[in-house]
Amino acid sequence: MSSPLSDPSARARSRALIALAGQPNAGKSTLFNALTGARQQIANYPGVTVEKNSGRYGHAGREVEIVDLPGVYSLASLSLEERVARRLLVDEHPDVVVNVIDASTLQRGLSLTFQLMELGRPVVLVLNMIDVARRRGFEIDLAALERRLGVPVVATVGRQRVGLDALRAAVAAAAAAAPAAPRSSSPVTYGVLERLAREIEHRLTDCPAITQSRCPRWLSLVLLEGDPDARCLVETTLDEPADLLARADQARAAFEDQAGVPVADHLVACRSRCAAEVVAATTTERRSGGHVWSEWIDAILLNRWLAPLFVVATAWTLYELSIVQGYELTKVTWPVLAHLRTLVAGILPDAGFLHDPQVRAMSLWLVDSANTLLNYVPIFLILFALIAILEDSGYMARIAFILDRLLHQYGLHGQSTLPYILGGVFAGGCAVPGVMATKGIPDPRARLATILTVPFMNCLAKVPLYTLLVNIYFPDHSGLVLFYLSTVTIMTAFLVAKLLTVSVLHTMETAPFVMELPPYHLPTVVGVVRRAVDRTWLYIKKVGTLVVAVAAVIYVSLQFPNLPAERIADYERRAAAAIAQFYQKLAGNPLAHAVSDPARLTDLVNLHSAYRARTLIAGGGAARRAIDAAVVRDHPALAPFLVRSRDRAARAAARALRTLTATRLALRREMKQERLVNSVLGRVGRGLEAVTWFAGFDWRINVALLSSFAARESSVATLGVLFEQEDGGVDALEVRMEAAPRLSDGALTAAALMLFFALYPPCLATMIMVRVQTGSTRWMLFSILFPTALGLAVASLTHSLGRALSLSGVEALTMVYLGLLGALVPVGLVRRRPTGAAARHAVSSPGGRRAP
Amino acid sequence: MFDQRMGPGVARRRRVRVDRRRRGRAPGRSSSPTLSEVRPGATCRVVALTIDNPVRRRLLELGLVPGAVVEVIRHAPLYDPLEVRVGATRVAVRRTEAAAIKVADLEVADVFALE
Repeated sequence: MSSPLSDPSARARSRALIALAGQPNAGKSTLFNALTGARQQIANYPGVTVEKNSGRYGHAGREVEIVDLPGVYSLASLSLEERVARRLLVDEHPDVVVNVIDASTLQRGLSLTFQLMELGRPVVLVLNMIDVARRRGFEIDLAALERRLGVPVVATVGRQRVGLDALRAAVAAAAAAAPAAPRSSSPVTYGVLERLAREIEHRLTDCPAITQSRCPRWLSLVLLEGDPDARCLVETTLDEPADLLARADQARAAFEDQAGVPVADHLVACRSRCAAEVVAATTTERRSGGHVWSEWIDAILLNRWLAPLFVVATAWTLYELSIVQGYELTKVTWPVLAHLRTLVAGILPDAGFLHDPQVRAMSLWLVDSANTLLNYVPIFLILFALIAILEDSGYMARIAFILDRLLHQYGLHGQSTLPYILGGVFAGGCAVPGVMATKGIPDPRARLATILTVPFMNCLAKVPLYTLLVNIYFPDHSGLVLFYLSTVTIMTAFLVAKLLTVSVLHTMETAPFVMELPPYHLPTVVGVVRRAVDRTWLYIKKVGTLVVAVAAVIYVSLQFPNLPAERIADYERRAAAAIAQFYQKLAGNPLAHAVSDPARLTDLVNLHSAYRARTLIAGGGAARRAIDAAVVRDHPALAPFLVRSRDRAARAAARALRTLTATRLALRREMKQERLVNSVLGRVGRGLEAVTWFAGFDWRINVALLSSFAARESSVATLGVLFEQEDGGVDALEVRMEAAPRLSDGALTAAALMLFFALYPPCLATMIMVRVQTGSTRWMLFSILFPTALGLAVASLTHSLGRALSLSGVEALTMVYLGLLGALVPVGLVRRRPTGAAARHAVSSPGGRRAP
Repeated sequence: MFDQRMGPGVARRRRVRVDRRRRGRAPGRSSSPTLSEVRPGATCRVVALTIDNPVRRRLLELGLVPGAVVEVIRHAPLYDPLEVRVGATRVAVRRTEAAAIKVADLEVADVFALE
């Protein structure tokens, strides 16, 4: 640590140093971001891989540096995070310690507060997420809490930036009033231990070397605890430490003899008792009838036999309302997005006859990519709102309680349920919010296993490819195949989670399953809507920007290198021939003069595309007549070529134009495909054929899969490009893929492709989120490489075995399904620990009903 | 305080008691029962934690300190986590952790301490 340890009174730092401390999930980081804005820097704490976030803000003309400490439950220096946090608090002498507490769990948070107060630096207590606490019916008397603790208390809502000014002011006031030497202000007394602690404290107070930089009260307590760091400190600071240390050891032994518990346990117990007293004196719980209600509801919802039914019903409702109904809603919103595209297309330079300006082509590509994402917004809004209802009501915690046994069997955690639901357990979800939601899982190993398996879920973007392939290749078994696909993913996720837990994650730290079951609570409309909008916005922001960026990269790698000049010349010659033919047909037609100028012809052709696109969106009837009228009004000279009429000359002109545009489409399509084959991505796709041949994928599928890495949505779009498409085309991709040369083995390849797609690595946005949540590039790479290998292995196995045994696509899928089931069930039945089994035997005995 | 809980299935857990018939218990373990052996509906007092850090610390922080009064409310449908009440909070704890919490029958004084 860089600060001048030897001279702590030289805290004449140019700026105040503030440490932000708190338990995990108290909302520290949100508050940190809200306080510092963009002025942050991320580094590692010296010598360890724990991330150190520091930032700055200005307040009342003074620069304030703020360090976001790792989230810890205590300062016991048992875990790496605790050691890091404690070292900074003790050695760097922050001017103020800002202690962030989740207001809903005040009592638990206070035990850390007391330890921070014992350290002797001024503490500002922040009750964060006060809105949630109020919604849950807790009314905390801030003034009483201030009086009771003797530290300033500020209520904030970090997410909405509420209370930040009050916090800054409180910090400034505390920093100005900070005493030179550390002094404990903790209200905790330690009963029998108190006398011993005081004695050691007095001895320490006589040593200026200590009092200058350390709080004697804190040091006396940790010495009694037998903390090795504290011993070490005393040994290095004092000239004759032996006497003091011996006295501390003696006192500890005497206490433990008398009380029968370790000093450390006693300290924790005293703090927790004091916390309970403080909460009892300062917090009132509105609607105390809530507990009784909760009991009633729990008796039904957590009933041994009914609970699974309610969980399934909840998941089904979630699916039905968000995915099915949300999809209906997208039919309403899609025309808006289509209109947006038309609007953009109108602003951009017009298309040429054969070549489009690069700006136009690329912009439209980007708009299309953005639109595919925005198309899901209604679904996400509904999904996130429903999940907010589940969370706020308290039922989400119950789901975790019900399912923990099952999930734990596979190395996961009860709280893995939410990430899995968000990721799309059945069909439809998104891995990005899914991975994000793993933040709440308190067990590091289960959390990592969840992060790495959430991407296996069927996110919404996988669905279009499934639908496409199922419609083409499995029209008779669509229900069965979709059932397979939606369950294969969860089965694989469980198996992979188990595999990771017993292999690479084996040595990782795990934590006890300890989860609060809050009383049920009626969610508020405002709370739910805000959460749904927040999360959807986050999705748009995080995913949207990335997908657009990568779409640009893919566009470029699909376009370059361009075709050789002689090929372009060839296309141009054919285009010229088609135009010549068009004019020939119009010879003698009175309408011919309207397009005598070649530039006018290009206008006409573009007008034709726009007209077709618009009539396609509009459907028929009055809307179509309105479009016709608009064309006649805006382009009187060209309208006869487009609008249906009985006039002989107009019909001949329209016929000639149709032939011309058809030839144009064919030429452009041919050119696009040739360019694609020739492009960087096309070459890579062909290069990979050697590997993917076993799974039956040809280069076109490889290209589609590669581009789907950017966003899964683009797989169908790219297949669309590869299987002959054009902007104004009317044929659905299904029709085009069928018309195109068949995939080598049809259904079998489709089965392998769908399996691969189900297990395929996370898309780019998810990958970034994995990086953010694990804080490790290596895990991110693992999350790409492992599923790729797994997916390719499964797909190759399916395809090769299927061919060897001449199975149909459905048979091959059934084989895989049964294989997975065969692996899953035995793993699920393995007893985890013999002690657990013994205990089970004891308690499930009928003794439960014995008369008292 | 039990009077207020009148939901279905409450009737059978009227009394405060610990199930002392721990059949199938591994030999050699100490005689004091653990939280995982307490019947739903029963209330008991924490005696000691027989588990090491950091789990120990975490349980202590939750209020499962020696002397604390704990009520076992129910088992999860798949039997594993159990729901217990410590003070005003309801907490789900896995059986493996509960097995590390030694408990004892309530004394009369503890019953008053509950409310």
